[in-house]
Amino acid sequence: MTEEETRLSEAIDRMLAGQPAAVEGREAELLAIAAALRDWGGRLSTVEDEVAGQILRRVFKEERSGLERWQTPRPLDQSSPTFERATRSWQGARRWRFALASAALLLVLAFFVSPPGQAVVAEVAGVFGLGRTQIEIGPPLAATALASERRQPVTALVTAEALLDTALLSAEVPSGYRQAAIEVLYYDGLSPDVPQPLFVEITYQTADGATFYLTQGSIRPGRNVEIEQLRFLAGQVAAGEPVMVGELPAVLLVLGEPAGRPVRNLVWEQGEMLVKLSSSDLSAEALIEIATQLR
Amino acid sequence: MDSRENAAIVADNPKAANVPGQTDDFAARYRTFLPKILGYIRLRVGGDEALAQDLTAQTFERAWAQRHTLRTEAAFPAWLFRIAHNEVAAHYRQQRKTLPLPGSLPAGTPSPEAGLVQLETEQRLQRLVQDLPEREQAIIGLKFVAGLTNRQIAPILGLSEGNVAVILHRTLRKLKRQLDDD
Repeated sequence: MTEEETRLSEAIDRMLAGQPAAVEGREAELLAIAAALRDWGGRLSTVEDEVAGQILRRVFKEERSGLERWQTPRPLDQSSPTFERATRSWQGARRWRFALASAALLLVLAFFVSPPGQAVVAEVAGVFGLGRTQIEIGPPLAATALASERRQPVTALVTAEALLDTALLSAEVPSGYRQAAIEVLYYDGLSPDVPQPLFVEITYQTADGATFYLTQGSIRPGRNVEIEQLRFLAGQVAAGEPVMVGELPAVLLVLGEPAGRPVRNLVWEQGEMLVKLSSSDLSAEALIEIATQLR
Repeated sequence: MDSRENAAIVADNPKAANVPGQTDDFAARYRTFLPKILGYIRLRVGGDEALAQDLTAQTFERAWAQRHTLRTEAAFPAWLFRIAHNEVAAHYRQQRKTLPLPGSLPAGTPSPEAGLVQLETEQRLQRLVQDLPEREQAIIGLKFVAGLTNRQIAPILGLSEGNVAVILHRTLRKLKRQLDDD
């Protein structure tokens, strides 16, 4: 940020607070534009009493289908037949992660290139907003619709950064954990417009096998490609709640797992990166603690 | 709006009745923030007043449903505007990013003392703001309609505070250049 940008921002804040905000030259011209926008903003914020009353009545009195759509999904009963059917075929946490990554990518593509993407979106069971990306919990998709994932081990973070063409965030890991593996993730059958690899996953492990995974990739991996939505499968998400990673909105999803150890996924945006921490060994609090320290 | 009517609507609601002690807060916040939320959404959706009111109602509905996620009182403005921002973004996603036609913004009612030159400039400005990319338009709305600081805007848009200042500066320069070119 340049000195001019800083001075102008400070002058605008003073002007909006009703304080003197004298600047000179080109900055004064920009401040005049800002004053015109402030005046217009004031007029846009005019609300007739009647309109205020109408909106308030709608907020509290009308039962609209949209309300349920926006509420946090209720935890599923893990003893229910639905939950058993949804989880029966899965053998372990690693396959969970494969499936979720594939499903996520499918939705990205569906949303960008095909009308059926809209139909899929309309069936969601829960939606969380992260800022630019939405997390949606929806019904299972046909296996044939899932893009297949390939993983390539790399030896160093700088290699992964070069392959993804983006600077990666690094974690301060809890005591006892060490970096055990780095893999970059490719997806077969994508449009050439989607640069690959899309994500990098770093595995951290203790000597006795406790593990967590840090997955990250650019929200905007290519010139015309932006990840707007990630999809998780409704039958596999046992609970979901919005949480905060420092000042950033995040979503904590608890995925049911046949062996009885739920996998916690913490997903959020940090700058231009989309980040996911997942583990069946660490608590939600521990994941948030790691996330808060990512730089 | 009559504050007694406002209180009656809130008190009459079963959702509100389940949370003793919070209804008055919500009504007070509604009264305080409705103008700026509606103003911000009006800027984002152009001249469609009905849509602006729909999205404003959805914003407060969602805020009510998610009020337990609010950590501190100080975070309320940014939290509420993030919900409003997400509602607008979700609407445009559903509409496949169909943006309103340029020049369809509500002009507002100019003050009687506003000169013709100033009015013309503001109307041109409104048209240019409508043509801005989504992120720049959101920053203009959050800054000049909502009156948020760069620090408050940053988490709403997933940017750093410094990035907000840079984009704001760049956007004002772009608007100035386009005004000069017209």
